[in-house]
Amino acid sequence: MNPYVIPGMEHRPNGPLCPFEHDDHKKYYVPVDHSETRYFEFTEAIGDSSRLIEDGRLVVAYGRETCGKTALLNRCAKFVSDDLALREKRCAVIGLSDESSANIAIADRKKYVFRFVLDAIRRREWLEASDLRELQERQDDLVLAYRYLSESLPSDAVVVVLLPSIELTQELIDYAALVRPKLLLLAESSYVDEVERCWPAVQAAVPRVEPIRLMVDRLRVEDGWVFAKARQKLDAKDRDYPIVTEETMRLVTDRMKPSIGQLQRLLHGVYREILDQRAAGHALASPEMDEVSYEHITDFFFRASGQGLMP
Amino acid sequence: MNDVRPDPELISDTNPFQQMAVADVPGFSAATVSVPTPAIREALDLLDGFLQAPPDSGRHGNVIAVVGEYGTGKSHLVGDLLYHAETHSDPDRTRAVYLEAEQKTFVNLYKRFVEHLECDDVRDRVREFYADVLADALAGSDFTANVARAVRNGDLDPVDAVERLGLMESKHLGELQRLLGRVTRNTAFGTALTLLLRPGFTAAAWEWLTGHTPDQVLVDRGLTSAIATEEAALEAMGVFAVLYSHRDRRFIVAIDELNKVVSASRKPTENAIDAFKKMLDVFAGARALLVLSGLPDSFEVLGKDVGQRVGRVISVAPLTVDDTLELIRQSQARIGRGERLHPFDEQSVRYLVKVTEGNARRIVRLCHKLYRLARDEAREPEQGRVTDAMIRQAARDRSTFGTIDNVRTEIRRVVNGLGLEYVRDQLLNRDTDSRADYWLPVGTDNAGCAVLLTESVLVEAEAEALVNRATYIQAAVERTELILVVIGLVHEDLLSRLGAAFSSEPIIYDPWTFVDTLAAELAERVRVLELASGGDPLIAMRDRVSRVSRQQANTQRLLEQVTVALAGMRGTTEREFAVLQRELAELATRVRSGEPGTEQAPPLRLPPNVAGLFVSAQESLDTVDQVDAALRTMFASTEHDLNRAIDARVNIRGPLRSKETFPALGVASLLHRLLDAFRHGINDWYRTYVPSPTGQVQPGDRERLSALCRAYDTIYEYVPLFRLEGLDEFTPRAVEGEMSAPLSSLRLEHLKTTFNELSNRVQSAVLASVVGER
Repeated sequence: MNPYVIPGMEHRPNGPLCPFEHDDHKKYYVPVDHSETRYFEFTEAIGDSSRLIEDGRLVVAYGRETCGKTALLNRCAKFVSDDLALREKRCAVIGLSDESSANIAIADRKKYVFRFVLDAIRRREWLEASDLRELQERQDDLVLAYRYLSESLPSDAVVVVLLPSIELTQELIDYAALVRPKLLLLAESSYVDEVERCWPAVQAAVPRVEPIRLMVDRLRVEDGWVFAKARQKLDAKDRDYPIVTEETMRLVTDRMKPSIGQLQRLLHGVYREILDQRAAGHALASPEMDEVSYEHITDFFFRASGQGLMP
Repeated sequence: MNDVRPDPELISDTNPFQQMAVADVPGFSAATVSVPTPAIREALDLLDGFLQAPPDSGRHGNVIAVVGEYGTGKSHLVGDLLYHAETHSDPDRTRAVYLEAEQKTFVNLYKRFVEHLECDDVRDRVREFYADVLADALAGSDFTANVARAVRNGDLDPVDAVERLGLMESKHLGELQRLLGRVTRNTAFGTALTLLLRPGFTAAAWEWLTGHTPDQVLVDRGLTSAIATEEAALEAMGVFAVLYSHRDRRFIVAIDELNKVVSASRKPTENAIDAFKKMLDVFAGARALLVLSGLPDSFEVLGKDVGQRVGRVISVAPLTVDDTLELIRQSQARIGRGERLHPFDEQSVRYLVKVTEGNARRIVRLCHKLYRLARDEAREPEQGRVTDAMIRQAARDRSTFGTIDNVRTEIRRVVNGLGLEYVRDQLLNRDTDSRADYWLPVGTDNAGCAVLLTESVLVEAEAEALVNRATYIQAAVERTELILVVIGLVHEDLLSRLGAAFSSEPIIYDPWTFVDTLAAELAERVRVLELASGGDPLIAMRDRVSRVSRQQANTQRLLEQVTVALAGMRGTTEREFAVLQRELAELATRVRSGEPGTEQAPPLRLPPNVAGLFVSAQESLDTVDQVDAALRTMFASTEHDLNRAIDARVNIRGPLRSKETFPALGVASLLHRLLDAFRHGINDWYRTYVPSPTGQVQPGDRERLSALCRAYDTIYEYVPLFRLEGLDEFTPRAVEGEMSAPLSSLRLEHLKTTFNELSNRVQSAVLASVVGER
């Protein structure tokens, strides 16, 4: 069994953890690349989630691709959802991280998002038919539309929207202006410098409560081993794969300077190859091979660059 | 050297010389005849230096100007240069682009330029920049060093590598965008070129790069306007020079016929000239080669600053006798006749060079003709040679250098385009030698520009006759500028004589360039006359305003032509209606006469679409000629009020005293009669028209119709329409003592347009009406 395959993610091994869809994903979060710190910053800033009913909020996770932004926001959404349940409030988490492409104009992207949100709410039957009609008619002015949505939602409900990844700062500023009570907008962007540059404009555009920004980054030298150790069942008697040592992981992390996503892809690929070879009786991957070396990993990395070994 | 025996090959149909003698630059090949003139040798030496410079040799880019008059072989030189580049360099590392500046603006030139490059090719160049960016980022660690090497040397595609290894695309593309923005000195291009590499953005980015309005996804990214100004287009060309010279590649751009974009009559704005200078700097900085080919005046217009940025000016000189001998030998060898001169010899070639002034195009065109003439005479072996007399014969042959009708049409086009008035075949005093083929009055009555047409001027007597005419015209008019248009050739020895008698050297007719050359020359001559007149600034201003409005009216005429074309789409219905009307009219005739109808009974009136053209011409004439109405107004006033009658008589005396009025009345009267006569002629045509059994127009009828139209054209051509301005004050309003608005130049232009095109329209309408009868 490849230690880097997460239950429920077999078909998409390098996808982000998503605890609001798979409850047991919560235990797979590893305290690396500041993500743990950022998560606690978020929970502290939100505090009592029922306050979202009064104010709404915008949260922006930013950092380069595969640094774990989506996984972090998924965890934040799960926190809010659980916290509201504890307080006997309703919560709809609408995950749109994978929806909408970058090569669509900002105005159209925002409209698609609104339609998705509307569809999700319609399915939950939280609104009267007349309200839904009104909302549909307001699609050309999203400020009015989100305001109407906020006012029409039940008084005990919060809608959490995980927005598609944002490239252009104008879109982020536009969303800041759409924040309303009962709406928690979770945005992410890979464009670090741009987000930092536009942050004052984002703050100015949010009508009520200060937006939250959560920066995630590449792994620190020690993070590689923390991650590998968490995934390897070091003491498991039924372990059918070789282990990777702390020394190797420190070397890899130091020299490759990977993100958490890159490391996941790399190690998942390395182990998949070893296990496939072992299943095929390949000598190089015999059960006697007890350890994955640094050279093994670098060699795989080079081959992967030209052959697409890392899905 | 020259064999005397008759040449059996002369009977062959293959003529070694091109009839049109126009360089086919894209088609240049090893088989193309090319004489290594000093200009060509110089250009090829420069090119070799550019192509062979080793990497890191401090090689810098260059700008070469190829300068010469029409037909001297500039395009041929450019073709030779590009062919040399193609055959003497690594095709994977050299890119040459040939641009013929047909489109008159740098924006259009840029669009053609970028079409040559193709999206995939440009994307590959951007990919190389990206490879460098990515390799630099990965080279620092031994973990990724192998990948960095593979990316840098092209074994690994950078876009694929980023995707496969899950690298930080936004960071690396951001770096690429900044780099491209920096090297191209333009952030918009940095953005657009980077987007070429992103899936889903390629089409939009390419669309913008090819000059179209930016898609909204680009507007979102700060690209808010199209590459639609001269400055933007020139800047864009520089961007591609940078892109294509990266990694020590060789990029060559040749802009041929630069004079079609920049000339004395087509001066770019200061901003465009600045952008042009910047483009030259960018080419040099990017270590690319830019070849600019054009007439000398293009470079004069671009100014000294541009001149200083041109690394080398290559002047294309006329062909020498030796060059021409070589040209003839090569041409014959090309078709397998060996390097021979026959049917030419050194003497005839020497004469040929004299009469053509060494102009390569004229030489080749004449050689084509002479070869054919010699071949035709080859049945008598001793006559199958080119002689001086044969050269004169060929030079005088209208088919060699264009027909006088074509030239007249083009002159009319140029004069109308410039908004100038003209009179055909004007005698400027009583002496027949004072005849100008075209007389263009400028400013006051006694100044103007005379255009004289002549066929080849090869002997002293022919030059003498023209000098005489020039002298008589100058004597007859206070101030005149004289232009000589030669439809043929001028013997070199006679040129200076003609140049001295006329205001400038003769314009030798060339179908490709004549319109531009004449337009520039006329504009200059008129400007000189206006400056010389100096006199009343108000008159000069009035003339200029009037000219501008005529030019506007010409533009409007173009729009009207489009409207006419659209109206033609209604043709079928109208024709059916016309047939119905004619049938009814015929029926009525038969009823009245009590006679049985014949199959081809003559129509009693013109079909509506034909009659409409005459009515509209009459109406446009009536808007200009209001003399009848003015006279009626005067008589009517006598019936009511004695005082008003006196005022009316006084008022009408004003225009009658003007010396402009009677020539104007004469012109108006002639136009009325011309129109009537033409209408009657067409009516008679219908009466005698007999359709063929298939319903088609018989050749005889078609010819009769053409003859009628030609007759109209011939007379109309001689009518000095501008005289109609003298009717300005002969209007009913003037008779009643009201201020009379000057005759609107728009109305006059409308009249001109209507009468100008009447014969063509009538001919088409008549043919359409009878063809539609079946």
